[in-house]
Amino acid sequence: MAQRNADADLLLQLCLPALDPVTPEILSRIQMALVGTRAETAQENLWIVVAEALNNIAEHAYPTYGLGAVALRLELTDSVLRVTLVDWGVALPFGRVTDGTAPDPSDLSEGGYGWLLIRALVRDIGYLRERGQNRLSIILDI
Amino acid sequence: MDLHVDTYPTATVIWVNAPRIDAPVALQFKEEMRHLTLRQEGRFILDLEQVEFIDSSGLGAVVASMKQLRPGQSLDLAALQPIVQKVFRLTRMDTVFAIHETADQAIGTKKR
Repeated sequence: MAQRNADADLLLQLCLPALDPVTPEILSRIQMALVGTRAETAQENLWIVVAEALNNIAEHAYPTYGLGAVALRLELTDSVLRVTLVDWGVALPFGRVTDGTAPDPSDLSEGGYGWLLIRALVRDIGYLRERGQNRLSIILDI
Repeated sequence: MDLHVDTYPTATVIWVNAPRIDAPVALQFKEEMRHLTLRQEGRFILDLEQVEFIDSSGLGAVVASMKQLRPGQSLDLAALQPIVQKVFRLTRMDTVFAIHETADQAIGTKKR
């Protein structure tokens, strides 16, 4: 039974290495955590958003040493899913999330789609750099 | 990465036997697509029936697979599953690729 925490149910809490090959494992745990909740239908969007956010952390927060941790907390309120991602790596450029401007499809760009996908699927996203931590707070509709 | 190739009169079907095209396999996918498309001419259909998940790195690798084609070659997509379809729609890459409901439909015959 999920733990009730103020206004939200805690569905999942974990801390794992921030490495691309770990992302599928985290997505599968998210899927299991959503089973039987009213947020089950939000799984597709959650998967896309969390995969992009995790891959950004693996690639950009820990570029030099290539190894660090990422903590994830998934909570469900009456109307939204809340995802908090914390890492201890390099801060986001300019101390904020990028606006996710879409590459022109006809340019056949091979990158630049990550933030666009995140922006397109979330209700809200916030970023905080605090005491050497990056904290990304993501809200998704259910 | 397990890519199955079947040649038909109208096209070469590349069946991706993997549940995901994502960051850990994107580079490998792109390289294998390059090798496959070097060996054969004409039209290719990338059959994504088994692919449940794609991320931006995987999308980039599919785009790269098309960009590395030679003149006279083309790459269509088939059997996009819900998440894959959503990623292509949101990035508007569905306007760049010809997308078919199934590989059978794309080649105009039954797959072996």
